[in-house]
Amino acid sequence: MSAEVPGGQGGIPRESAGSPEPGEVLRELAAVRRRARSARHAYWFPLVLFGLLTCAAAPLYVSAATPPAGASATITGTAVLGGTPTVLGGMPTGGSGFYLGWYWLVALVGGYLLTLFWYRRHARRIGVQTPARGYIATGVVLTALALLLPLLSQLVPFLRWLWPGDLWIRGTFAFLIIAAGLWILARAERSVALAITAAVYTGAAVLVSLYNVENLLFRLGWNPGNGDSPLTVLPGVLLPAVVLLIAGLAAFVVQRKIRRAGDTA
Amino acid sequence: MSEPEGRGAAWTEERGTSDEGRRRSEGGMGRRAGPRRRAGDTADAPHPTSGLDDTVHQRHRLGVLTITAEAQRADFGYLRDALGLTPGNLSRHLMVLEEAGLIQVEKGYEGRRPRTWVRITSDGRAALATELSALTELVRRHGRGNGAG
Repeated sequence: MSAEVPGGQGGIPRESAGSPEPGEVLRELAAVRRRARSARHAYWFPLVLFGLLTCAAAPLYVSAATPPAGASATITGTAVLGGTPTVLGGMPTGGSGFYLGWYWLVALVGGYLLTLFWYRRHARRIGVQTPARGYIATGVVLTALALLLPLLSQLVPFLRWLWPGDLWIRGTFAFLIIAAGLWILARAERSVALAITAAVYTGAAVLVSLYNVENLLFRLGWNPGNGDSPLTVLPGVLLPAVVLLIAGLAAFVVQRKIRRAGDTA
Repeated sequence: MSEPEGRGAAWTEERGTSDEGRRRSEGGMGRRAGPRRRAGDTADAPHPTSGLDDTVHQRHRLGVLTITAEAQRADFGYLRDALGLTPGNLSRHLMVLEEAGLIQVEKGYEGRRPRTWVRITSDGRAALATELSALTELVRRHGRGNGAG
């Protein structure tokens, strides 16, 4: 095999001696493709960002689960339709998900916009751009649908069929929007690691949307006092956040290591 | 601006590339491999080299198409470093690919600094896929030929 050009990021060997074998050309192209893919990978940022945004939402979940003064902790069961992001806020036990819904609306749109800026900045810095528009569009469109569905289904009752079953009642529908975006991003990044992260995160998001995961902790002996009962919503919020944060930090370390190795090569 | 070590040597070598040398290089493996048939090839099946296109087949142009197919778009500087080419050489390859409609070159500014982005077209993706499948088929036949002795 002919010698590589020194100084570059590897480069394609020159055809200085003899004709290259097809297998050799294919191997070189695979290496070039692998390097380009590693260079453009930047998905640690949206993982960490949405992990932090989920952690930041935790007080709102606790607040939404806290019964209003003078009322007992029962399920209110009244979903306010129209004008509020009901699907994003859910029907929490205790108070309403009004603030939670608005929080997620702002956090999702802001998070996707920040991610768009992040990918553009990364492309300017590195020189290869990931096609992240599908990811952004998926997130924004699903968020808009979640916002508009209550309003539209009041105008057109038939649209109530589009409501996502029980997936929204715990105020965790935002997790599912994030999960859908991660699948699109994994495809755009062509990353198996991100696809695995998306699968684990989707599992966690569906679990906390359909099941009170605090029950598992109760069985393990966790028994918060009566006054602390709103805190029992925290495991359901923090589980998906932890998945995102661990995957994001691991991706950050790996991507930084690969980039440094490329710089010193 | 200081260039990475070794870039100077690469530049000297590339600058000395004559048109004749480039033609030889661009003729590449397709011509050298030739449509020779091996025992076991079916008479009707076209030889994989018939799928090789001289415009695409040149190694560096194949590299440009591979990188741009991997990303939404790639920067001129990234392509230059990744393929170990001089700016002049890369420009010539890009011109050939652009004239063939396989890539689009977007020139613009980032602040005051000029920046050139390269984007693959759908024709470019199709040409790359054809080229890669022809090469893969060549490798497959070559391996089978060796295996058959």
